[in-house]
Amino acid sequence: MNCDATIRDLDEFLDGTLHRESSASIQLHANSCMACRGLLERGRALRDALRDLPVPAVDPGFMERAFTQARQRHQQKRTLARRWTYGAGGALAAGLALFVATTIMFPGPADNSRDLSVITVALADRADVRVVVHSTADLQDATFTVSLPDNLELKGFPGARVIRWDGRLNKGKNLLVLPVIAHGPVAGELTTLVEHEHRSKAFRMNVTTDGYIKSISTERIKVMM
Amino acid sequence: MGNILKFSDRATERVRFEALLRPHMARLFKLACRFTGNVPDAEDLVQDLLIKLYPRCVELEKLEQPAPWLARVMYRMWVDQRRRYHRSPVIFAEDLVQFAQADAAVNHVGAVSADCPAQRYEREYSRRRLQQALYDLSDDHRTVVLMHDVEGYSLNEIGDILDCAVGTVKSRLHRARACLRQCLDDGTF
Repeated sequence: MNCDATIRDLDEFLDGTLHRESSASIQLHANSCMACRGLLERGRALRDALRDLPVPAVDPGFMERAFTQARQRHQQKRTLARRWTYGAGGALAAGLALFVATTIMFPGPADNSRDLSVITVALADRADVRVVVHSTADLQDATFTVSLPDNLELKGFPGARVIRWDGRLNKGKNLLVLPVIAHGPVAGELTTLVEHEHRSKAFRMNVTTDGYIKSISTERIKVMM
Repeated sequence: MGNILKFSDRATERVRFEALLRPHMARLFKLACRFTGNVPDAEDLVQDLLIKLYPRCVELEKLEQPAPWLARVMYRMWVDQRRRYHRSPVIFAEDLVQFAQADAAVNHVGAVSADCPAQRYEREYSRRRLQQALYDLSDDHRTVVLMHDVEGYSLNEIGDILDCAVGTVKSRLHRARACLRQCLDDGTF
């Protein structure tokens, strides 16, 4: 091993990717060559300094803002595409309909706790909880949030207690099917919250794991098994 | 029934997208910081990445190893931004002080160190010189050094992300390190 070979193989030596015999030769040569020993030391120091370069910590709120922004931008594009399809007149009419629908659809308090439905699911069996949402007009960009009691799982979302997504409501009846599975004793509320702009409506039902459907309540909400 | 609400489609669009991306966000952000050299630009880059990928959730789900794919997409976006920047006749004053955030972090680290002031100053001075030397490298050379020596990506991963041969990555790394050594070759490193 000589100085030229050391310089040539320096990177692989420092990265630990050089063949064992070659590495040993370089180390042996460096022990007796002050210039190459200095080269190796500076190489190691540079490598260590690069590894220690600090990076600013991510702002805890940034990730949430970024995901929200991505979703909103996607919705805007989708909405724009639809409006472009329907034309300017259609867009104006849709905007008007949205406002009217909001005021008509959400006349009551956000959280309606009266007359809770009680539904029962069998352990480890899939059950489809059906929620019928009446809307008086088309609503774009509504947000749905399903909150589950302990031991009840929404199919495809193991371990998730709250599932949130965006969708739209058509004028008239809208059927929301929630496939659920009870992995243990369930005694709690399953809540479906529908939000649009600054208004919301919560559909709540008690879920247990024995017996059958005890009741179906309210004129606006129908829950069927 | 007027409308069947497509629970699975609607729900997965948001929930699955976040479930797919969240595990990779910290590393992507770090990489973005390395690429851009400052937090605001890194946040913009990551934000643009999410906006670009949101409609491609199905494509993401099919990936066996999303991490290198995500890094590759972000790298290409950054390269595009750099190209646009170089074509622009306007240079913003803040762009001339890249790595300022990293410098601030260095200062902070130094402030809590138990070293004596002279040692702190020497280490900080060395880091500033290293950051400046990195900044003086070409984009290609700086990228491989940052990804390999700073962030710990393997040569194969870098080749995959940059869409070039491993031999090319090795060659760039070798030249970049030589440049750094030359820039800093006064006994500091």
